[in-house]
Amino acid sequence: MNTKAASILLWIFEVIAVIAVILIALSIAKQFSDETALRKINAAEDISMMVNTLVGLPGDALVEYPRDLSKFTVALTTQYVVIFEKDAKVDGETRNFILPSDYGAVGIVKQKGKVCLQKIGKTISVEECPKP
Amino acid sequence: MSEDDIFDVGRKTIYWMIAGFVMAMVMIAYVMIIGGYKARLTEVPNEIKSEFIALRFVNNPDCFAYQDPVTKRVFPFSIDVTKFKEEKRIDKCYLTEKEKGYKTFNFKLSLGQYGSLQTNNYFEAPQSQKEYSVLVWDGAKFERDTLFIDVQETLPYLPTEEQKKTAMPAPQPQAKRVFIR
Repeated sequence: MNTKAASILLWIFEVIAVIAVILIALSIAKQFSDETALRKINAAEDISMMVNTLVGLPGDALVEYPRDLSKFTVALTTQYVVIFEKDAKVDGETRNFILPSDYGAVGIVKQKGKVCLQKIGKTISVEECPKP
Repeated sequence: MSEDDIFDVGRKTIYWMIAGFVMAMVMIAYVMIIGGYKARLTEVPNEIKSEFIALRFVNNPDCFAYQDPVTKRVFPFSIDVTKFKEEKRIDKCYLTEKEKGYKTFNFKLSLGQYGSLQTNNYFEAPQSQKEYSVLVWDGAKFERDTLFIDVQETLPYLPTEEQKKTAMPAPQPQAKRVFIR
């Protein structure tokens, strides 16, 4: 291999390495700046706190989640709430909560803009909000 | 290829090994910084979370809130002494996982002359304290009293058996008081 060939090869390698680093950095930044992911985390956190608040209420209640959840599916079980995006059942955002022993939480709402949490007796459910 | 060229290629190789390592470190730091920023954006203070959980102790009749047996009316921010003294009632109200429950919120409720109760993974390591002005139903009448709730947030590790027996607190930041009502 002569000097020029080696030098050109190293130059190409350097350029490729720099481009790769820039692309990786941009890709990571794009992934982290994704608003949907943040909204998903916030919604999971909010709904988990709403469940705890409903347990702390003496009677029955119906509460509307104040943000649009049409991009998400919300599933509620007795131990946790999980929120995942429309077509991605993996990568769901889960938040745990602890209910009193004879309480239950149920329901799944798929891509509905208005989502409500309802407490009737000892059951908390997630459902599409009733039409006004 | 001359001797100088061979050294030049060798130097570049060493340079790129070092540069590759440095770039990898920079990328890891970059991911961690952005990840930390995202976590801060979505962070909810533990005081708020624990507040929502603790409300059940004074508002839910299945926990300790007083419910009129005739009208079924529940008195918010009240404590029924009969329920408070009932053994294991707090476990029906709030029971954390036996093995890993120390990683979530645990509470100790102290009510004047009626003593104190604690949830199953409370190890005397409170990080904050709440204070509720409550009505206490002693079976005949209401009396005003103050319910103190010590909040133990996530513990970094499970206290040893010795620590549990002697109620030695795990290393924690100084407890701060949060006054609610």
